[in-house]
Amino acid sequence: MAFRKYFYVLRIALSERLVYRTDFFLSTLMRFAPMVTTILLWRAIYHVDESPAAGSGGEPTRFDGLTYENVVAYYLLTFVSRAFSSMPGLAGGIARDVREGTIQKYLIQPIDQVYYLMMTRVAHKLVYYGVSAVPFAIAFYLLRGFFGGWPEPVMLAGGIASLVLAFFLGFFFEVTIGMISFWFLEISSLLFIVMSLNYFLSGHMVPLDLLPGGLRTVLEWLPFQYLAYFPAKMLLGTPDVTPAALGRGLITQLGWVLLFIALSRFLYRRGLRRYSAFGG
Amino acid sequence: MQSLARYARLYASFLRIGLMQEMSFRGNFLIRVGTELLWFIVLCIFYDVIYRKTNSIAGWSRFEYLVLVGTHFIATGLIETFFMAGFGDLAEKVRSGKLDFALAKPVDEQFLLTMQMMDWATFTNVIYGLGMVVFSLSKLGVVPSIGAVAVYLVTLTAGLALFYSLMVMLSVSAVWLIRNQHLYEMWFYVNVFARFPPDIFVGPLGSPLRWLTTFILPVLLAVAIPAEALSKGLRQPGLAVYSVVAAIAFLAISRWVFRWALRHYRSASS
Repeated sequence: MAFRKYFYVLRIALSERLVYRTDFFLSTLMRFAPMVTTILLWRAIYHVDESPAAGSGGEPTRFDGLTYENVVAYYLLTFVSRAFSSMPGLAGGIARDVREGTIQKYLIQPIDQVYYLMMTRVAHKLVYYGVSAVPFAIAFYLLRGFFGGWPEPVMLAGGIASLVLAFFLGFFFEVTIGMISFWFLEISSLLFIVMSLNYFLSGHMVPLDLLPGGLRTVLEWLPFQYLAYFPAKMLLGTPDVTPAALGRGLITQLGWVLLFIALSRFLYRRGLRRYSAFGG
Repeated sequence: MQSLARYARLYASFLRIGLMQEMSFRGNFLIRVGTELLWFIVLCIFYDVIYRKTNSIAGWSRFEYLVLVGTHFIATGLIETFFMAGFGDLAEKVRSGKLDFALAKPVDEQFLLTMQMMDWATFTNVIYGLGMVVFSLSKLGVVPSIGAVAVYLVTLTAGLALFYSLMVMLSVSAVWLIRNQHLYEMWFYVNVFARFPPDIFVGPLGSPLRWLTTFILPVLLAVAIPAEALSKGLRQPGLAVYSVVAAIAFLAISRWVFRWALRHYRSASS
């Protein structure tokens, strides 16, 4: 069946990526460095060291339902969601292939470009997880005091499901953007704008719970929160995260994934038609 | 010994040519200016969100903090406009071997390699930062004295000199590390601590970090000292002096490292 060739692609890509394992390890370690300033900044925002209530065992300060510990735990969890949903170089790579004509190599082979890219991404992620498991474990162990305990089994399963969906959402979203390069050869500026906005809109920069109501409502309608905020929040397990909310969120997330699969496919077919018209 | 006037004229031509080159790709220039503005707006939203929850962060009120943020924009904007492209280019020249061309010119190598390339699109960050500082001062009702402005300019320049020196040493490390794609990432780590008021660095985690980034690598002083001087007056004037002394020391150290690296490069290629 056709699947065997994609498995082969996966194996090759895996061995390719393993070459970079030291690089991954170091860069993952460094990626956690900003957590230090995050912890210190939010400690100051919550006045943890000044508040008399904190010492006497009173009710901890909450902003929009989140305590200081929740916020720090949330940030750490966004590292996990970003590990699933970020696709560095994917859109840019597609644009480069279109621009330089190297897209030919996919067209003359009996292999679908998007599936090929997905296999290489899966390989990349597997190596990345394997290598960064240790830094992640260290970080979670050091910061275990910020977590209230393990999530309930239902929420944990749902959280993992949302992480897998975040991978597909991130993947097909970037592929869709990459497809735009069939029409505008240079998409690096668009990409930069999207990525800058994504950092904020996905909840990576600040937990979306803290945003003012109007802005929050707008973001509810966008797919970005499912790349970081939603999986992190599900795994965080604050009281407002009910199984019902989990279910609703997962369905919406799946909806976005399907939308971007369809959109990327549509743009790909249209783009190829236009591309071959160039006589490239 | 070359005359200062000659270098000044040369630098003026770098500024002019850099601007002309960038403006010839007007679309790209405008898009970059737009994205820098977008990032600035996102950051404004971030601090707005935070200051809706609290009135002060480690003793810094909303507009005092924004003076710091604005100063950080000015500082990073200046480095990114006038030097960053040069640092990246330097690393690339080392890898490709084109460094020889620069070394053959009758001008100081460090001047040529770090100051020739401009990135005018990021200069808008300086303007945004300046706007933020002025706006925040007006909200604070503070009209800084001539002395305060002078301290601001001197200590900000010291901070810039420190950033410059650290980046020179990092980009020149391409000579023996050869793998230097992460220059912008390094720049992030160099200036990340400078984004925050030193007062948030407390406790078993924060205190040693504060000491390290105040006295060993005084990045914590680079932006916070000028901001403090301008918005609420220096609490420890000694730190301002230390900042200036450290800047001079780091300029000297980085120049030594630079020349050492070039000698190493020369011997490697011949």
